Amino acid sequence: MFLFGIPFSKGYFLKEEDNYTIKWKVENFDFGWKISWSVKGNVGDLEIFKIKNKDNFRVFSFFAFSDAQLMSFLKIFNGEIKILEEDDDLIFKVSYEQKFFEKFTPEESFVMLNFEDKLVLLNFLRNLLKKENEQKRKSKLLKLVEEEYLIANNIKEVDMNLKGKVIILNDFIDKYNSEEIQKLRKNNLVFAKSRNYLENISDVDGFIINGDFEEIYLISNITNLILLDFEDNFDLEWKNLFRNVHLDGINQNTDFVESIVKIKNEDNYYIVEYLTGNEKVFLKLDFSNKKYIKEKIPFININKNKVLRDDGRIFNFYGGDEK
Amino acid sequence: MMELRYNPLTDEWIIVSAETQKRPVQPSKNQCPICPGGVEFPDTVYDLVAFENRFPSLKKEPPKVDDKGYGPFRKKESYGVCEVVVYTSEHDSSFPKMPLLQIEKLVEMWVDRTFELSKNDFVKSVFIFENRGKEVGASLPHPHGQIYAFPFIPKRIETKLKAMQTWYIENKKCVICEVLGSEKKERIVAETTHFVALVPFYARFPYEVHVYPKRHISNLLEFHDEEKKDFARILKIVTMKYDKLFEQEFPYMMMFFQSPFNTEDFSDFFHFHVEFNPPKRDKDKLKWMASVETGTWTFINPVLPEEAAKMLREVEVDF
Ligand SMILES: [Zn+2]
Ligand SMILES: [Zn+2]
Repeated sequence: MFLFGIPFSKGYFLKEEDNYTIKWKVENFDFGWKISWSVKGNVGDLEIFKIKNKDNFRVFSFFAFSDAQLMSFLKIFNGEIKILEEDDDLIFKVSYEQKFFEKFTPEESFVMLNFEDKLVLLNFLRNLLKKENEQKRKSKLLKLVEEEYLIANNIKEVDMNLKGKVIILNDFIDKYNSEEIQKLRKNNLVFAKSRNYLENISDVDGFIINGDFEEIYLISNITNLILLDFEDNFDLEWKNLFRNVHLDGINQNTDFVESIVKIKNEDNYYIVEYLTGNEKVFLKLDFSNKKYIKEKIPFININKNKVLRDDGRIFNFYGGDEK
Repeated sequence: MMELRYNPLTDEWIIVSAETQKRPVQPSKNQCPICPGGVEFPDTVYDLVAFENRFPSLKKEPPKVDDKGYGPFRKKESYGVCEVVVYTSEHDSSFPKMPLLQIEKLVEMWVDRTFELSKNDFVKSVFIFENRGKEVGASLPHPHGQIYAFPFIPKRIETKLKAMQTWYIENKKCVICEVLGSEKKERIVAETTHFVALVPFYARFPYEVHVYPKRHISNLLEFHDEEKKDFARILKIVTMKYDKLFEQEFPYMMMFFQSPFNTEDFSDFFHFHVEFNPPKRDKDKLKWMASVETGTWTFINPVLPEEAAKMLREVEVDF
């Protein structure tokens, strides 16, 4: 484990670089350690913490955990949290972009918690975050959402009200018994499944993509079980989902995910609305008939003509011929 | 000479653009640079057009700033785009005078400009605005607005984001959605299917009007087709009411506030909105951005918002 690029150890530290200075402290904390730091100068991307063997870790929006270990950002005022998986490493970063800090920033923090019982750790983290969010000086909103909580906790309580949620299953769920699946099914849930799980459960409704439509593997390559609740973080979770899946016939890249403007639920459809250069595409995901329909509409309802002038300026002409 | 300079006293960026000094000032009609046949369109006819400003304050490829400053004096490159948005080729028209169809086309153009400009990674904020009237420094009478695509989130927008985020955390609701749910008739100026125009409870200018979409939308890209058409309608209503209020070409600053691009997602709590900030406090009187307003961001509003709303509501317009 590396902290700010040097092997992890307890105490107070100061590191001076050409463009910036970091000071940090590592202190004992319930269940583990708390790391607090502040920075000065032009920091750019700052590596907080690096774990050499990431295999046991599952990564979520702002935390990661293994069987008995939970690493989480706790308080962030500036910059963007990034958790990167590179080769065998798991890297926790904060990107301060171009920001320049004239004096030391308010302390930001990170916790490392160790305990056999994941539920205890998750509840502990949840309480810590709750306290942070009640502080007068607000950190960026770090909230352990219900979905992550359940996922992280291996979804012990599936009988909670799951109506209207979308569930993506994959091999991770093998631990899961078919009785639970039946419960989900009774609640009219929609399933999306990865191929390696399909064979085992024949009677699950779902978003199963095989053959003509089924061979497309609209959703494959899923490494996590994802529970989507469209009341709270619906759009966000869908976007996360699409980050992890391969969509046939669509240029799959981060641009695609970024170009999604809306995902909504309409009767039997989920409609994913995204933009390409000059058109808006509606991808209707039809679960009951197990197919999807792609509809394109011009992104704008007006003629457009781009002209590059000799002086290098771009002129965009609109309208003209009345439609 | 163009660069961004950092003000550590207020944590904000200043755009230094010495070239803007060369801008034309109130040319006569036969010199209008944006009329067909004018200096920008010597042999071109057009309907609507958005083009890069001849004298931009921000550029896609700005001059390099090799020396990034020293001590408290920081600077960096002026990345960004400044566009002029010409609403119509008719020099003597104006926003309220334009046919609804023309404004609908303008809305389409704004949506597309937002989309195109937001595709530049360096763009964090797309700010669409119009300065109407010499009272607010408009240098050309020809109907047009502008767009600044900023490489940072400007200070007042940052203030809005923070306030709206705090409200959202504390109340679990978008603040504008909540305002819309709580507004009674007394401050409403006009209402259409998808929009409400009102003099806000917290108006800073005497005849300030805000336009809020009823649906929670954070930027122009999320507008449905019906909303785009309806947006054109409400803007026409508001600007027509302004002109009829004192039977004069009513000067205003019209500004669109959209959620930022290419940075964190603010869409849950940021609600797209338009602000009209008119400088008039009466038919012949101006309200200046003077020391208190400029220096402290504190506004003294001499007109009760409910009164202003009533006056504007009672101005009847039809088209
Ligand atoms: Zn003109
Ligand atoms: Zn809202």
